[in-house]
Amino acid sequence: MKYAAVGNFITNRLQFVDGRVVNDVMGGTAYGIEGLRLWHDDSSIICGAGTDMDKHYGAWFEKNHLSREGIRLLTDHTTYNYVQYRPDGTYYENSIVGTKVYGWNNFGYLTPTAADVERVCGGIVGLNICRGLDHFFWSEIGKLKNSHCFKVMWEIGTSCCVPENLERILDTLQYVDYFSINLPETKSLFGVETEEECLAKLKELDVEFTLFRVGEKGLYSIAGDQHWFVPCLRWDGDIVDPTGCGNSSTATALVALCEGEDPIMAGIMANITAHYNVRQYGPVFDMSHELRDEMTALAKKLRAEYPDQPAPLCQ
Amino acid sequence: MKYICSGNIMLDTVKYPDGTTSGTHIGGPAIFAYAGIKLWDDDCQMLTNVGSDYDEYYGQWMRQNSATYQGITVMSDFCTHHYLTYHDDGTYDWEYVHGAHKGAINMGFLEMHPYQFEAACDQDSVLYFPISLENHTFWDQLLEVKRKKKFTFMWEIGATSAVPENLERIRQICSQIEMFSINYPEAKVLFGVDTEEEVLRGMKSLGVPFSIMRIGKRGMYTIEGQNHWLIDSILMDQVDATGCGNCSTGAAMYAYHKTKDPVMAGIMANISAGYNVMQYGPCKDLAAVRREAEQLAQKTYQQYRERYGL
Repeated sequence: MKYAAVGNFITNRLQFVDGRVVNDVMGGTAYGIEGLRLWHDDSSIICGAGTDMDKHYGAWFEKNHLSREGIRLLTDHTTYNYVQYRPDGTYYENSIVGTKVYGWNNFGYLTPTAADVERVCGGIVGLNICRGLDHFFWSEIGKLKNSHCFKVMWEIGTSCCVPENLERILDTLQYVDYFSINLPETKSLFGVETEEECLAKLKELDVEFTLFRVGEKGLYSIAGDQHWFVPCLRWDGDIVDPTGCGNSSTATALVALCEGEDPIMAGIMANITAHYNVRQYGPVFDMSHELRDEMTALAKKLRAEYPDQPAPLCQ
Repeated sequence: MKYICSGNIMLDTVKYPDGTTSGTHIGGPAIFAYAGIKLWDDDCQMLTNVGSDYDEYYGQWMRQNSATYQGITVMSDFCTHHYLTYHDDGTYDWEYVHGAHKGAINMGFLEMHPYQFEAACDQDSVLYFPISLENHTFWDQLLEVKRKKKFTFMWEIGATSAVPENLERIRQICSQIEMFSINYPEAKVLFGVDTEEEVLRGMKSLGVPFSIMRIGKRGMYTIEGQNHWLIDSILMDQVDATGCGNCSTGAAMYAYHKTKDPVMAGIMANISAGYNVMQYGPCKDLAAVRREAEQLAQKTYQQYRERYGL
């Protein structure tokens, strides 16, 4: 396994603002896998899962030849959450039933430890980690990173992004190469209002690259004191479900950078992943080589529109 | 180490009606069972996952009792910590100090994994572990590890698992382990009966070589094969009974394994529980009372020899 998303499967029952309810939607770190696997075959997940995982993820794993090397089957039930979207774009999320079996204890038991990463990190080049401010976990990842020389992309969670966590976030970034954050999170974290102020603050972070996601507008790729705006690549068909766009695009940026692409191309590829992610509930089901060829051609075409030639971050 | 006490450790802080709080008390099944054994023998350890703030709360007790840190694995930033709010009617509510969501995830994150038993246990090990039945996957893996490593196992069942629909599964597990612990209210529900006699019949049908049924302040029954013995509790000045079930179960496991005597096992278990009720958390200085406990056990055993004609 060359690229791994570190996190949890979360199967979802989605309730949309218009009243639609959709059950059994693959989610959680499945979106991280999607963002990696769309661009590189040797990608999968490091996680704990329930022995029922094949009910919702088995066909997808088979179809896309996803490795199970990093999965430990630990409980009877994979996490299953109820997600209710609100008109203001926020959402309510909870375990589908309030019992220990499906609940947050179960989620905690399935959450991967640093030891789970160590077990399979021999050939790893890049880890996509969606995680909070668990200092012990991050310091252990730091030790593994030192001995195995992989790159770490951290997609920070919304609840962490408050000013009182800033010092801890800066401390955590010592274990991180690439960082991903969205506009509301950045505003909240730094107590600023405009994109310009956000960009200025993000450029001060001690990371090689930051993916600054600004919603439907697109994203900024930030490297050193430079930034490039990469507009959203809109899908003209029905936007079925935007869930997971942030997770999948972040994971794609990791692969792009590790494969030697420059920061602009990383942003373009990230947007392309989101462009395909919105077309169905859950991640793209068939991540075929034909699809990758189509996406790669699109990425090259879009990249040609940028005159800048920044150096790749990872040679 | 020969005797291994696994499970969670947890901190409790009591909230009083006037808004004040108690100090933070150390607890959790692993440390209560460990104290129950360490009263008698130093050849024991805990096997538990903890937060990195562990030493801040447990360190003083660990050092006071020369407890080993072998088997204690730091896995997260904080130990499980509850607020307890007691009401006038004797009931109480609890909540996670770190918030419902974060606290529940952390508690799950710190639960034991079968591979940890595989690494820590060998055929000479005697393991105490309190665990519910819900996670079949866990049990399958645990029993596989037990078959492979051949350790002796004391299972303390929890209230949520002791229901009639689980009886067959409990029998299946009991046929593969050496010791079992349950309390009387749980056993009544499990067997769907009302009297101690009926419960004892049910216990004898489980197929486990040795079991204890804890009957609160009265003490416990120890059961071996088709025989049972009522062992009265040891009266001590009671401050807090939290953890007595874990403590007495750990001690019973130790004593039965050591002496092969179900009466002595019950006596030593009750004595461990007696020292446990004298303060919040486990007994503060176990070495200081070991000699006294040993003398009490011998004296009490003489009384039972007469009672049961041993």
